[in-house]
Amino acid sequence: MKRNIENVFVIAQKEFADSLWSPRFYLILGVFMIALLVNGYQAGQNISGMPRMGDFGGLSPLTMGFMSFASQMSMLGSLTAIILGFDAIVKERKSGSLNVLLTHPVYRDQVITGKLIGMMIMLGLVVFIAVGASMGVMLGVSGITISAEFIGRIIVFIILAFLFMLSYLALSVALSTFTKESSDSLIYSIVVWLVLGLLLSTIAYTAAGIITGEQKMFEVSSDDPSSMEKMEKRDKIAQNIMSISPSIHFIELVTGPQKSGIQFIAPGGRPDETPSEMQGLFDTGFTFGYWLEQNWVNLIVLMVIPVILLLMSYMAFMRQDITL
Amino acid sequence: MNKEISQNENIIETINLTKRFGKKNEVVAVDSLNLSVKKGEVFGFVGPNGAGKTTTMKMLIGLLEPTGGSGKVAGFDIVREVIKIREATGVLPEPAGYYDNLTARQNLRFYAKLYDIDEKTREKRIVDLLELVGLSRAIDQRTGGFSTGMRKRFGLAQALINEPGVLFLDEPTSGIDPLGAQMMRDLIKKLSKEKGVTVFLSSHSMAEVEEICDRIGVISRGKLLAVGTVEELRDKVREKVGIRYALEVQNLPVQRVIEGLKRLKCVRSVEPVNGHVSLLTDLGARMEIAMEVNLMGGVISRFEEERMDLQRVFLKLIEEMA
Ligand SMILES: Nc1ncnc2c1ncn2[C@@H]1O[C@H](COP(=O)(O)OP(=O)(O)O)[C@@H](O)[C@H]1O
Ligand SMILES: [Mg+2]
Repeated sequence: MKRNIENVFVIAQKEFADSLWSPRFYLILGVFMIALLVNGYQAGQNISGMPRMGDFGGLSPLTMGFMSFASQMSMLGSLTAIILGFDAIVKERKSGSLNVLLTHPVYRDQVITGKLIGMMIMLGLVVFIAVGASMGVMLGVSGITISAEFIGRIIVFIILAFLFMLSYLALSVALSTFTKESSDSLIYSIVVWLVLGLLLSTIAYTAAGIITGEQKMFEVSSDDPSSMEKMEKRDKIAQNIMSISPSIHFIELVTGPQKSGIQFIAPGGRPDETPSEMQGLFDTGFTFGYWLEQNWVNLIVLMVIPVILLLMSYMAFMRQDITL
Repeated sequence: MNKEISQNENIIETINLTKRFGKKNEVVAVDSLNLSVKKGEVFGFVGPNGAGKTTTMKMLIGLLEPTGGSGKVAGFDIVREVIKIREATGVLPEPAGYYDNLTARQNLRFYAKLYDIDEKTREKRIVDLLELVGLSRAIDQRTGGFSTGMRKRFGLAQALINEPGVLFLDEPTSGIDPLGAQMMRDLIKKLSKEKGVTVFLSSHSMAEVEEICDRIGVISRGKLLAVGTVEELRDKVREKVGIRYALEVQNLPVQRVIEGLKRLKCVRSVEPVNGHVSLLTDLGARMEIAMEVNLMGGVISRFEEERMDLQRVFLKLIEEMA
């Protein structure tokens, strides 16, 4: 038993070390870090220039800073996680090293568990360092001081970012157990990433439009209640479709419920600056408890997605005749 | 770690071991295999590609579950005591791959950590093993840069990391040059002689197993066709296809000898080959032939069995059984 756990640890350690020495991982990590740091710097500048800028659409510069954090996280963070995991299994199977490894006293489940743990530790480290550093820059540049409670929220943000990236890590690992070539695994992962990150909202609105029969975007007048109603229905369907993407849940958790496109472009629109609504994790006007209450569904989804994907890669690995 | 297995006891044993593949179990890769290998023996498993050698080995080390039958390695059950088997054995699989971004030393260190070996012993063993397989100078080179021959030898070192009592080597010389192959065979012989390791190796070359194996099993299409020492296998073929002799006779023209011998029942065929006679006979026909030649007034100056090339023996066996 003790030996079993030790062997999982040996494999986890190796997996961790492998990504630590992988140039391609550093490349994407570098891009990710730079983006976050630049973002932190700009957000810091905005915050320190707050009086001049004034409120923008009811959003404080601090919240805006976190909004762009969240959106960068959702694009680059997910990509970083994919790069970390896409050839975890397929490479080892193809090179024959899995063949050799399994002749030693390890079970398949120890191999996959060890690998997943190793990658998760690496991912955690990446998130912690990247977010920590960019937040540090933001706060340093802005010169504002923050409370212990706020630091707590930053830690929660780090955990959310970790869960979000873990979804993509688990996705790419799952794909790497199904595919025969590393390149296939990467391409499939990237396709999913593109669809979820860039195309999903277009697809969702188009699909919702087809379903509701309301195709055009701008033909709404606030005088016509039936068209408003249709529009709302369409938004709702689109939102539901989009909720398959972990990004949606992550961004909502961080920056509050997403306003659907229509509310920004509605002609003569209702100002809709409802200060009674909490604007995400960093809206200090509300307590953390209130945030949890408002967002528990998102939170659960963000936890369940990676768990399902991790289980998928686990089972795929266990079921296949993975030896050559 | 090893269960006590005394000399003369079977360290590898299978009873009706069977593996089928395919959705409807339609591919029989290994068919009711009954094998036994004694402690300290070097056993060669020979057969053409696709015969079922690798599948058998995978079942013996618990990488594949048998469809039927049972087996024991080092006293452990091949289905229920997989980890114990792996702790007691070393395996060079085919194909084999390593972590090519790591050096030979780092690779071995990783494998060693999967066993209970203390650090000092481990580091020394890594150096010793790489020296044994002639890779001392490459100890801190990445395995990614190794030639095929070096990789095979490294694979042997890797298999020995836990000082196993039984070695499984799947085609240990395939794909390497003749010199490298010879080096590998010498190493296997040395391991068997000096450390008393039981070796179970597979090969598609009969000449190879003849050189290094105490006993040989011939497998084709999942079926074990014959098992025994080289001599025993030869006898088996002799029984089936007869014995070929080269015969030289003084005082008689070749043609006369041929005509005379043709009449004998024990002679299956006879023909002239550059000045002497080549004949194929039943077992134990030697005396009768010698007498017949004497009766015809000839004097035998050479009468020897043409030792059948083992590769032929092997092919004959497969042909016969098919
Ligand atoms: N995973 C598998 N799925 C289906 N058929 C297999 C599998 N592995 C081996 N076989 C088949 O089993 C037979 C024996 O293969 P193998 O044991 O690899 O032969 P050898 O090692 O003697 O060349 C072959 O016909 C091969 O195609
Ligand atoms: Mg084979």
